[in-house]
Amino acid sequence: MQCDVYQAGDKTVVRLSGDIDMHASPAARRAILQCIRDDRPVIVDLAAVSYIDSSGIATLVEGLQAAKAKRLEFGLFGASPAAMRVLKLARLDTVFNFYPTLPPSNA
Amino acid sequence: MLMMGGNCRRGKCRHLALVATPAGGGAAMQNALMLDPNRSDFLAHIGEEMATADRPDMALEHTLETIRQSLGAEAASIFLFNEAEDLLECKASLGPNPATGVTVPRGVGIIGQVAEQGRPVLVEDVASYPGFYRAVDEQTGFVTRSVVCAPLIAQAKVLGTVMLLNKSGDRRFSRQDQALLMGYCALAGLSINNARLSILALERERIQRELEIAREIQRSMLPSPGHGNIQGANLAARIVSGDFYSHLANPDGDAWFCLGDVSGKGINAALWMVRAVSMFSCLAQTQGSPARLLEALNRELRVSALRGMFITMVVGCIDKSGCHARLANAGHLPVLIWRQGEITEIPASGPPIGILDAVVYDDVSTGPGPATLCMVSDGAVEAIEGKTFADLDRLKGRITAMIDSGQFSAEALIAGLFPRREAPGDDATALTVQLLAPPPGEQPPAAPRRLFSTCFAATPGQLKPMRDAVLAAVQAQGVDAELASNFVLALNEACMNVIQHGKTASAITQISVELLRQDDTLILHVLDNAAPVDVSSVEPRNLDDVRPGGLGVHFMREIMDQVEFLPPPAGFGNFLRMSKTIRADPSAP
Repeated sequence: MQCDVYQAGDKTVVRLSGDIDMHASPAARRAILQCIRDDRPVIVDLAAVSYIDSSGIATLVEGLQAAKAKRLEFGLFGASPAAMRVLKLARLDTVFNFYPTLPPSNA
Repeated sequence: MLMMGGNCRRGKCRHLALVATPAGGGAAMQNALMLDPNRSDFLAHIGEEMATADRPDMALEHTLETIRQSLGAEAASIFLFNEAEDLLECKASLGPNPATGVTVPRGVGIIGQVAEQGRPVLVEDVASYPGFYRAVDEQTGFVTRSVVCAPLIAQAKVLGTVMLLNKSGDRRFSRQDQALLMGYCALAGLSINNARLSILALERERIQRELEIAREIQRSMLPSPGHGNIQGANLAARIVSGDFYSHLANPDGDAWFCLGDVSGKGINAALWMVRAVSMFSCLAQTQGSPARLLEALNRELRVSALRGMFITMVVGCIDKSGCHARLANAGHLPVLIWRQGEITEIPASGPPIGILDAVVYDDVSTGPGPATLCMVSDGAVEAIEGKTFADLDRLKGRITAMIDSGQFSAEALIAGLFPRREAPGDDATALTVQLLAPPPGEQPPAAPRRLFSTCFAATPGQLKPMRDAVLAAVQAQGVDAELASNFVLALNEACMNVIQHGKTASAITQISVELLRQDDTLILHVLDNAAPVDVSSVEPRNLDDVRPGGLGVHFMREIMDQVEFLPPPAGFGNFLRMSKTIRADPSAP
């Protein structure tokens, strides 16, 4: 799993790739919650996620709840078929805000 | 050489002559002595005393008293070799300061010297004899003046010594006393030896009785020879057998059977056989297939296997219709299946029990009846094929002939191999199973086929390689990509639960995953050695409550057709079984 964080306009993009499983979820969780602690709105880019399990889904739900508590925007982008299938299985596909595009990187 | 002279009638010697050959010809026979009639009666008395005594220690004391009185000694002792500690120990002692229990090192003092050299010693005055071992006097408080000591010899072996101290009446021992003592010692030595042999014989008799009891217990563990469609027969090479067979019916209607052969013979093999039979009876209640039973048995017996011991074994399960059976063979001779005049073989699919860790066996279907299964141990095969029995041709021929004549049964097979019930060179056992013909049109269920299995430490880092391997195995079955991915997701969730649950365990939890296919159903077995979970607490949560965690059980139940916890086999804490009917991907090759 790889986790890249970069600024895109007024949003912080957390780009996850590879398998988001029990082994990788703790790193993804740390990255997402750190952004929220810094009061940054977050978009999690799931386009390169090849596998996600319930621990990865739990990480996204925790990020959503933490952002809501601070009235920050939190959304997903580009869920791969593998990720979307699991989100649907968890019946969370209607809970998250899905961004159709990503703002350009500030870098 | 012992030469007997004088009038000797039917063992009642009136005159006995002990004639000694020159030095080296036997310690007891190195002096000539003519005994008067009274003394020869003494010798007869010693022999009788030793031969008939219930307590050897008392007999020794009576013998010693006879010698002491005859030679007029103030004190007398018998020292015998303690082979284990390599010293001489006083076993009987008479006189004012008995030395019973006193020990003397080999070769030390007069006693040690006589025992070492096998020759008598006469010391008329110990004050002038430097070899006298004064430690015994110091231990007993006795004051020794004069000594005569002679060896006790039987079958050219020194058993110990008899020592007489201080001739009564302030006299000294003479050469004649020494010669007389030698005569007494010769007979006493033989009598002691006979008494020891007698004790050994009694011990052997006791062991034999215990073995007979062991045989009765062991035979009571074998089922009666004839029981429905399963029959067994056993002929032991020794009193107890390392071969075994067993069968039992489960409440759900399945019938289980086994035949095993423990390596070696005798008590070791018999004790292991008892353990294997007991475990078979327990495991047949909980295991889903013969292969799983053998694997569980291997896990248990591998731990306690003595060096070099193993069991070759066949386990089978007949379904409740009585028409189909599944078998697994752990290193045993092939199972022979007679069907319409033809005999086929089911060979071993893995090594014998107790040799390797984590062994995997395969279940093999026998196909539907009518058919006759025949399993034998190598003792039976050796009897018919000789020492080289690679192809079992003669055995097959005999089975075919017996079936053709309507005379076939396990008992008849063994009886035919050993018509005089002579003990075979190796334990000989046979087990036969009759499979019935299925009703017309019935399709037999296929035996589950193992596609993949692995065992790994319950850590998150181990999950990805496991997922990749299972995904490849599922896709190889022509399963469409989405179902294959979901299938792996459910397995992953099950393993995550084990990792979570096993965190508190002191040792690293191990997870065993097995993928099987039975007809169009994929089956997953997830076993772990963590503490048993409370199954009632493993329920999916309400998905309307959006919160992290708790989704795993929901995924498993959503994806799979069936999710159930089963009684875990021996060595495991939990056994989760999940199954899913698959649809083949039409685009798959």
